[in-house]
Amino acid sequence: MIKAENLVKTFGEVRAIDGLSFRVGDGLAYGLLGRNGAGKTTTIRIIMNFFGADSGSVTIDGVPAPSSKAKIGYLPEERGLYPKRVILEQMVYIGVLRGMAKRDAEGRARVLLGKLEAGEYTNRRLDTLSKGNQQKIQLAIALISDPDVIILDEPFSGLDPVNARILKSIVREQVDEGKTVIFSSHQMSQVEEFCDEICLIDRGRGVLEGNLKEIKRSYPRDTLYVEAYGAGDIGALLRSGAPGAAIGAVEQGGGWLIKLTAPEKRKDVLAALDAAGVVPEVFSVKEPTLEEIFVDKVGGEASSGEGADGDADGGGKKRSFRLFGGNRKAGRVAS
Amino acid sequence: MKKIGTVLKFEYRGYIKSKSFIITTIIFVAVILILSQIPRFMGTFDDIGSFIGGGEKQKALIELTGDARDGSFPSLLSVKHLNEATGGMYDWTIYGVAESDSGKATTTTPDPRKEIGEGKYDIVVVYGGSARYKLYGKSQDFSLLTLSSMLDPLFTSIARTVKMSGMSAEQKAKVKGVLDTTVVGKVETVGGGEAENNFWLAYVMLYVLFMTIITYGQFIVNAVVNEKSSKMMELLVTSARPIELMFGKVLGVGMAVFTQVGAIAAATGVSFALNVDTWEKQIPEFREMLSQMNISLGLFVFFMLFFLAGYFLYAFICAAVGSTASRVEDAGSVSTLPMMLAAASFLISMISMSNIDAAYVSVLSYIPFFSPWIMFARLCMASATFVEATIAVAILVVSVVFFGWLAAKVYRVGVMMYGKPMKLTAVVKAALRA
Repeated sequence: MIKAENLVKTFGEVRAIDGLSFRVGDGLAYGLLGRNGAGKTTTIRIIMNFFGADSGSVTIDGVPAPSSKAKIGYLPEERGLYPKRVILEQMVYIGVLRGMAKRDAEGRARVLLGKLEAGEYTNRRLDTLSKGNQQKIQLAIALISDPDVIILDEPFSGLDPVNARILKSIVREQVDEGKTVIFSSHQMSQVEEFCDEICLIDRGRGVLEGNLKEIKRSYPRDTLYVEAYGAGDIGALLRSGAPGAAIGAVEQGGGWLIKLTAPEKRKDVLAALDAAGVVPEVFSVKEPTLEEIFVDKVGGEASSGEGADGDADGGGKKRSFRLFGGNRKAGRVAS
Repeated sequence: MKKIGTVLKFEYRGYIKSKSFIITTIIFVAVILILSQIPRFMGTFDDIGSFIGGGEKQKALIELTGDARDGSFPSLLSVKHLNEATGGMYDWTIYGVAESDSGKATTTTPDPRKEIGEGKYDIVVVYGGSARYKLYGKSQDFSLLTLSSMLDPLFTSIARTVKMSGMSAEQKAKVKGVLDTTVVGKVETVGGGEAENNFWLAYVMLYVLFMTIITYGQFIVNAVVNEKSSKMMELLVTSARPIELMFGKVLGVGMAVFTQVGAIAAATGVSFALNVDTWEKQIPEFREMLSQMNISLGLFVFFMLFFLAGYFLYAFICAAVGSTASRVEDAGSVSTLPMMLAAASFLISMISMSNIDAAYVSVLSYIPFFSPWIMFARLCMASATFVEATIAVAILVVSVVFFGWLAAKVYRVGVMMYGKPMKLTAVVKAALRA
């Protein structure tokens, strides 16, 4: 269990971390999510004891992080290895620095490189590899000491889809082995599928923390995704068959997204389809994506922050999740 | 401690396997091997002088005193003898005994320093017929060594002849020492103190120390900056303590230094030893010259002490200043301070060789940054005793420990800072607060 409490870190005038607290249970994938400059890397560097927090504490299994003996694997945001040195040599070097015996480090390095489909680079110099492959080596080094806790700072940046998939499967494997994986990202769609828990950070503060599935469930289940081949315009069908059930429907990816007036109106939609003789191939509640949740949380607060600076946690703020408003809201976030 | 060893091994291996290291070592060794073969390529020298000195003849004066004014000596020590022994490089004048083929002769004994100081002569030799003679010359005149190595066999053979010519028992007793001991020449430079023949050795060693420190000091600065600019540091400082990283690096580069310098020194020793016969055929005095090069054990020990301590003092400072830069472009500018210090020390030691007993030289010879050069120069020039040198070494070692500690603190703060290089004073302040 990693517990961060009330972390504060300032760099000159800038409050990079402003009272951030979160806890990470064992054996799960934990995402520290936020926009660029939200304070993700600073938080990770505090956990890694790269520098200390001005106030607040980080404990690992109840022991303050600096004196913890827990094995931590680390993929820094600042990627870098010795360009002129042989890959195996560098991996063994870091492994031994992290307390491994030389032979163990070498064995583990070969296994990891194999898993990452990078075995052929074992005896090559780093600078002979492509950027993406260098990233893989970085990841292998993070895992070299078979750590209990793995901290990955923006692991997906710079990876192509194939390598991203390899990375995901390795992270999943680590989690399945009971390891705790903490990672940061600003690419919500990339990390959605394997985040067990998340902490959304905005301007150094935690704005949302918890189990991702539960968070998704907490959003009203009032959006349907329906695929029914040959049914024609489902929007028109519902307007006549189930008036007052849906706010609107749009075609998306071969099916229809239907925004209901209330979650229980699902029955009415199903009945209307049935009455029209349409048998849906897919009929499911559409949960908000992580990206939508992110925009909802961070985007909304970014706008509220303009008026009430420093009151981003403003309690009575209404949830402004809008299925079809994602792009527009994202635009506002960026402005 | 274990991690220091790990870093050391990694750094050391990195250097000795690097192309530039291998190539420079090979080039140095090759140059030395070629130089040692010169006599094989060049055939015989008609005139040693043309090889060693050349150019205009120097005006040399030999003053005979004491037993050397004895009647037997003129036939053994004439201008002709001297010209033969010294390869015709000098225009000899003999003072002390009137003899047939010497133009000028007088019974007065002029002051050698005055003769040289006034520019009447370049060289003055004072010979009293005993096992010792004294050679006076202008300071920084490298030919003094050569000359003394050419005079040694001459005086030795004179002594031998004197003994064999059936002199009186009393006279034999006087020259016995000459035969039993190698002739010892003393060199005195005008405007400087008295020195053993190893002042030239001081030049070589001071230069070696200077080159080693600026070359490898810059290596260390570059290595630290590279680690920072290649973003390696974040991974490293979360795997080992900065102090372990710094010591490992400084020791690792240090071992690479000694490997390279050692390889070059060994190549020099072996190749000249193998070729000593060839050299001797061309330059009969070669063996004598070699024996002149034999430095005393004490001097060698002190050279090693000053070399090691000086290297580490500068290496720690280089590691500290290197940690304040984040970009490779800044590596040059941050290393200005240690490089200037080393250059200043080297230059002062060079200049002070001609005025080795000056008060400022004595003072500087105890100050840590300067002492490796200046105290060593004083030692070579016999201006300082081993006791004084020991005190300087002790001060140096204490400051190595102090600067090692300070550098580790600066390093710890420095390696985590990115952006424009901070002022060293600001970093030191931050380091002491941390």
